[in-house]
Amino acid sequence: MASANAWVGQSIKRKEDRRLLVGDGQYLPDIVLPRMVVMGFVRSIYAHAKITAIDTAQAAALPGVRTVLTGADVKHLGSVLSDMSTPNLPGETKRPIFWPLSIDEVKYVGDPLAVVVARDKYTLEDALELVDVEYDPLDIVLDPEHALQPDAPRLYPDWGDNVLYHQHIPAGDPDAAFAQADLVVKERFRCHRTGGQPMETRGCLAMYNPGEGLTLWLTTQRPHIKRHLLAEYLNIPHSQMRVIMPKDMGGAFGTKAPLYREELLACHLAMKLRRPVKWVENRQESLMNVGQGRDQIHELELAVKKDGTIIGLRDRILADCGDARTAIYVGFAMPFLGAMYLINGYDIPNVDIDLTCVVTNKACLTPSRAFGSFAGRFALDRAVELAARALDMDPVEIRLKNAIKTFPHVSAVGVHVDSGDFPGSFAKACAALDYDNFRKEQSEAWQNGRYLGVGFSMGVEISGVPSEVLVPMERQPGFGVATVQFDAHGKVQVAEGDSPHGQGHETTIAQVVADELGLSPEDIYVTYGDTHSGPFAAGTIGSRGASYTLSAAVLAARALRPKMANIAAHLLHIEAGEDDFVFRDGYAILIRDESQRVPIAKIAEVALLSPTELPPGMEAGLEHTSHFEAETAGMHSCNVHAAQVEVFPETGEYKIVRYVAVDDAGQPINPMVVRGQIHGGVAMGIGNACMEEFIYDENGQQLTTTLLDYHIPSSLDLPHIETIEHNVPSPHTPLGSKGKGEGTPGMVPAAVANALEDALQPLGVKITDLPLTPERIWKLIQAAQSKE
Amino acid sequence: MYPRAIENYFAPTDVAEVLTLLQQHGEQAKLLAGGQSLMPLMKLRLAEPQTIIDLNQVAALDDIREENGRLHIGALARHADVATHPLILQSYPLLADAARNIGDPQIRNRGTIAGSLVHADPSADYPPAVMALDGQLVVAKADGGTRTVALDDFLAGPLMSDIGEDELVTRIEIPVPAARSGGAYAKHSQVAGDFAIISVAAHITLDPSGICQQASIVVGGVMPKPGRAGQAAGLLQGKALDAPLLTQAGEAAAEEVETEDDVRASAAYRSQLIRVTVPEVVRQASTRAGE
Ligand SMILES: Cc1cc2nc3c(=O)[nH]c(=O)nc-3n(C[C@H](O)[C@H](O)[C@H](O)COP(=O)(O)OP(=O)(O)OC[C@H]3O[C@@H](n4cnc5c(N)ncnc54)[C@H](O)[C@@H]3O)c2cc1C
Repeated sequence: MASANAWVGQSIKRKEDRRLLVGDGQYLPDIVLPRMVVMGFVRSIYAHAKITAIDTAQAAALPGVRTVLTGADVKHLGSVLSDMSTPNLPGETKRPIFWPLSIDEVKYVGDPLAVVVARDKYTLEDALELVDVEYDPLDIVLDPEHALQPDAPRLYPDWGDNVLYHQHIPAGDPDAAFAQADLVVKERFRCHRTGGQPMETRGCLAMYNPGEGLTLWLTTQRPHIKRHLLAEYLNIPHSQMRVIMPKDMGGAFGTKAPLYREELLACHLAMKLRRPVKWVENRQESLMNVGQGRDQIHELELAVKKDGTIIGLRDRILADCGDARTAIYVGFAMPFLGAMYLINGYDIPNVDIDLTCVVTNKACLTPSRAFGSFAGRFALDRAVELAARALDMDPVEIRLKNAIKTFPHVSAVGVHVDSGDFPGSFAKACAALDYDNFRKEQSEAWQNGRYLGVGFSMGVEISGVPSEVLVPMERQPGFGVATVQFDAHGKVQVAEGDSPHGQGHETTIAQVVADELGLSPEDIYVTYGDTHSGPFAAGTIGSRGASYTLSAAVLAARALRPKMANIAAHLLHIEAGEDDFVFRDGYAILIRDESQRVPIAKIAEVALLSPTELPPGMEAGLEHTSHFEAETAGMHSCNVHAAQVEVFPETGEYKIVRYVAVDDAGQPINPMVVRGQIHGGVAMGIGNACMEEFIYDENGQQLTTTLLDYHIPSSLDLPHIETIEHNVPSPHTPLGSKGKGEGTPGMVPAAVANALEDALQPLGVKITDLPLTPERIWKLIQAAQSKE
Repeated sequence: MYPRAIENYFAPTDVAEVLTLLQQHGEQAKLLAGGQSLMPLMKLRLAEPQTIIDLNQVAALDDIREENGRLHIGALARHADVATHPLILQSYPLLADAARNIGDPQIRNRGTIAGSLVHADPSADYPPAVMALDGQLVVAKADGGTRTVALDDFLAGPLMSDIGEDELVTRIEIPVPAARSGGAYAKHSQVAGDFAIISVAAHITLDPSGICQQASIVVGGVMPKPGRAGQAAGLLQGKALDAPLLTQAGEAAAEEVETEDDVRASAAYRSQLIRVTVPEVVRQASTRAGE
């Protein structure tokens, strides 16, 4: 028999939090090495310009400056993108050629064109000011629709146009569907540029010696993937490249998944100078370069029958990818996945999606939680709302009519959804909101000049991406991997290949392994982040912790039980196997006679400290590595969110009175951790949907490079987020667990926009564009009133 | 984000010493109070002083008391102290409202009233509030003299105020309000603790029958500095403050105070916020006046 289930499902306190709360966290900037020097960048002040001259003499002469390099000095390293570091997607792709520093031409404000290395940060900034750059400004293109015009300025003249990527995704017979439709909803939706901005900015520390090679401490979500791309780019043996994510990292939200130009330079400089080279990005650089996501226009059409059945969808998606010079995602991997996930939780059989990704003189898009699908989720759930209104149908009814009903489900474009229950989730959301009575309250409020509204959104959230999808797309595996290893004192080290940074793996993995081995989470310690001590894996991305990685830990722990049983039986001098024992409370207990028991610590001791006591012929040690791969092409969680708002039409200001999130975590390992993921995801979604925006002026200068201008909400700006569990265990993971958190922000914009529009029904307002700032709402009200 | 090296750092303990240092170092020197505006400017290298004269050790510069019919607020009084001081909560709630609206707790614990007024951000919270109360600054000069200047005149434009290189603001003075006076302050910002898109301060004195005797209304978040809504205030004088009158005052204020576009909001939206907020703030001020 297995073990007594004691820890899974309990909201125990996070093991991580003590060190984080008392200031004992170990972050990248805390690491200091002897002889270390610091690196900083001269960045373009123009959105598009020829570099006519760079004078580095004065900077190089400043005492304390070790070196100054420009693009010409790193050209020999070669262009950054290789087959390995470019997504391999169906459709037509172009690949920009670029170097760690821009050569001859800069393409956005913030583009790195020279690097300075100095003994300390003060000297560094003095020196950066002394580098003299002469520019010859070029015409710029900032608007994605402008980028498509034949006469638009070109970022990459040899391309012939500004199109980075184009793909057509057809399924079924959309023309026939539109011919049969009773109603066609057609609307243009626009989602602005916004995304993630982690508390800790990017940074790295590179150290080199010819014996061991390169060690790079890096703020990254994917140490192993970075390792092999870095070794490839720097042309050093894989055995000479080690990447370490520090123990703690202040968030990532997708921004630390790509391979960046700056980290390539740190490695190059460490090799060149034979000194450890450190770089810590400042907030301005961060807001200039990363976290910019979303930024799509959707021209979306739905073919709808009188009874509300959606029979067809067409969407022309235009994504503004910025300069596209970031490896691994190259600006278009996000819009691609967003297009594949457009129909999402809806069962729409006939589809015609056309995605065009263009380059502009802005920073490259980087991944942000709800990878690529934030804009599409907004567009589709808004269009469904418009359809409901046109048919005078309840917004819940139309969603239930079109939601995926039977599982497993394969969407028209081939996305596999394993399990879920939309009717059950809607029922819980409606009950929580007292939805039936709300409509009465709403019409009374309207009579009294108050504007209350409710809005819903629904969708599926990725629960890890399987190898079947990742290998062809990104040349990376999707499996989860963990090594479970007893130490000589009966404690268990779990080494994982991912690099958690806020997801709580140290706690949740300890909970599942404790259950599998009859121990307490206190007995389990989880290690991660170092490519030289953990197994190879794709990294912490796409909600793969609770789906893939944790499942690997479960399987690895289970794999130890036969050997543990054999050792226990040997110590008890009896004949017995795995099925004869239960592992509980730190003991291997014989089921038929519970007085016969062996401390698990004793089993470990025998396996490691005193192997002479092992059964004859048994190999010493007690460890196992498992690679978990789900037997399906896709696992997802199915979720329903609802917002209730009150709008003050005189100013367009509004209050999110309630926010109800009904989420499916399959089998929550630690419900508190799940709630934390949802709270964070909703907070990010509200920030992105309502407050945050990267704004460029007509010259391509970004106006939001401090947190005074880029408005991230604090707890004071957020509603109480009510989380409700509606769990449908996944049939494909050992515990039924699902990943949670990555896709959550995508639920928010439509829920809030639908609620605002619902509240303003008497005023006839239609919301098509984000962000939902009070001023935008006020202008919509003004426009609607002047039409009357 | 690292400041240029400074040559000298001084931490004087009394006003005379500050003035001597100012005289010696003059234009190369910067006074450091809460540092919540100066330090960000230095980190961005928009300010590059050679000498820092740190005011934080100067004794008795953070007093808050009433004297000779005037409220004295020491230059170094922190936003958090003003927001919670019993005397201010009792008789100058408008000031406490403004102080409470500034930034976040860390900023309120360090930032000072004189620092804010000298810094002269047109979207800051104190300036409209102190203007509505007809506040003045008492300025000590290195040559031993002092001068008193109304905040209206002291604020010269965005991040510009009438302070000489050899001068130190020692306190803010505000006339003790007449009986049946009340004030209020409100701001609209994009996120909590952010600078104002629009803020409104109002101070009202009523006669025993509830007729408005005196009113002042000041709008922040406009360029080049907070603007007095004189016509709106004039409309209120000698009248009972009923709803239609307040609406009219809002209209008048929106008309007379000029607004501009920036990243935070358009001019038209700012005017609308003035139109809506003036009546609300005046209503709250008159309620307080009646209490
Ligand atoms: C993140 C953040 C958010 C903020 N949000 C707001 C907000 O919402 N509303 C708001 O109003 N403010 C806000 N502020 C600004 C804050 O209120 C500052 O504290 C204030 O503007 C300056 O006061 P200080 O004491 O910190 O002055 P310092 O930064 O020390 O000095 C500012 C200037 O005043 C001069 N100075 C200081 N004291 C004297 C004196 N006694 N005599 C002569 N000159 C003097 C200094 O030399 C310097 O030039 C914010 C600041 C930050 C960093």
